[in-house]
Amino acid sequence: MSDREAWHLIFLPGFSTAAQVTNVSGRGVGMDVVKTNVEKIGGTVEVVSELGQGTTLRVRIPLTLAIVPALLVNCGGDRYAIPQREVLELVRVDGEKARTAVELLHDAPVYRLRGNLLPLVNLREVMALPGRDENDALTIAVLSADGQQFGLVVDGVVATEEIVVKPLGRMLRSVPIFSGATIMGDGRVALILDVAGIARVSSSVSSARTESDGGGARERSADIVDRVPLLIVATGEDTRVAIPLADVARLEEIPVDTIEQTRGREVVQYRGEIMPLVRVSELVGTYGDSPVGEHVTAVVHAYKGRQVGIVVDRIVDIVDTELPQHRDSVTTTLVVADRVTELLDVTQAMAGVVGSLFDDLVEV
Amino acid sequence: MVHELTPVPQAPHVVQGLMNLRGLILTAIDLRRRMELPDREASDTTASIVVRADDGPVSLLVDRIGDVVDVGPESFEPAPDAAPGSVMEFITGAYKLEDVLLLELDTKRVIADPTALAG
Repeated sequence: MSDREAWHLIFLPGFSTAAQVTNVSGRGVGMDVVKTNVEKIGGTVEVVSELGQGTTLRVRIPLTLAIVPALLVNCGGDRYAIPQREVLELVRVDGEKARTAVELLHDAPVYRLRGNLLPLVNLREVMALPGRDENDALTIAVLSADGQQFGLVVDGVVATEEIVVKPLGRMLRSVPIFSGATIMGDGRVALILDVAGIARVSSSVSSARTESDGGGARERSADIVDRVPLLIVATGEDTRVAIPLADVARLEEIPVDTIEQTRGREVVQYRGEIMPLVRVSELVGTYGDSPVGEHVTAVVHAYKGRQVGIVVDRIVDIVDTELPQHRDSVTTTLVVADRVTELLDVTQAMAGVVGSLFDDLVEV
Repeated sequence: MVHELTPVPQAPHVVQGLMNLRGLILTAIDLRRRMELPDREASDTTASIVVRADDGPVSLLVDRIGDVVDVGPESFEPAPDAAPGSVMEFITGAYKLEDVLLLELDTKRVIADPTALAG
């Protein structure tokens, strides 16, 4: 008997070298089952062994007829399969939360998954189907492709199943979002989603990545500078705004009845100066009524040797965080303390709002 | 037994869907759309002709099956070259039968990827 023949003895049904045999273990079944099943789908199992060195088992499975575990999802009335190896987790948001769970980072939809911004891709959009009902529960399959994560919004999850992957015909090879097809238990054909392909055709995955400070973006150390303290304030309907603490001179409570008007702008007399007041909602473009009270809270900022009060609804916190280096607009969106926050570039914002005001304000 | 077609979003317009024919997944190509003819009414019945191709069978959806006839090469006449976009693009020639001309379909051309053909 050659070595090769000897090695292959382990595949014989009932072949066992176990000293102890229990009800299930050591009965010489396992390797026989492996070989039978791999060969059933057209594959082979090879074994090579060297005494004292180790054993190599080589399982070959034809690519066109591979059996893969897959997650079946529903979208627009049809079922689609996503290979399980690309599925990291499933997130379901329902009820009240479903309507607000998807936030927009510029135009790219994102979902806050444990503090990290997860770019979202709507499968209906990818397939050019009509959008989903905003009030429906939100089902997100968190997928990983080419090292980046994104959330695929589907109508629902059907089941997990072992599927036999079959290739698509020539006519469909140019469609980037499918990698193959499979036949379901009921005889219908279901398409297999190409996760990497979907990520490629969805611009929101790549654009959200470059904007966000969450998840994988954190790895791009070149874009991150040192941690800086930020003053977190709230405005409007709970919008968070971050102001670098270095730009904050003082925090003041200003009695509402001392606020005066000049040239269409609110001002107060402050420490012998006329200090213009700027609502933070004006700077970041949010809406919603500010609470009416006897005092307003102002963040005093020194601008061109003068003072400006940035009126906020509420001071929330001061946190240390990393800042992205590229900030070319008045606000930059990032995640601070698990919340989506608009980082305010105070100097730029001031130039736009009160730049000309100081030129003609004359002290009395 | 042929099951319902599974639609393929973002597929070329001529692809009607995928079909399960006894365990084989076939791409169903609508011959009307392929030849840029008007779509058939939703109520009209369709017949599927499965043709052999280089990389597996393909289904062609047609209005109906007419007949099966034997023809010989002596009655065949090749069609003149046709401009792209016309039905004649997919016709290799005609068999001169007694009372009618029987056009021969260029199946290779019909099932070729339309995007690859362009240009």
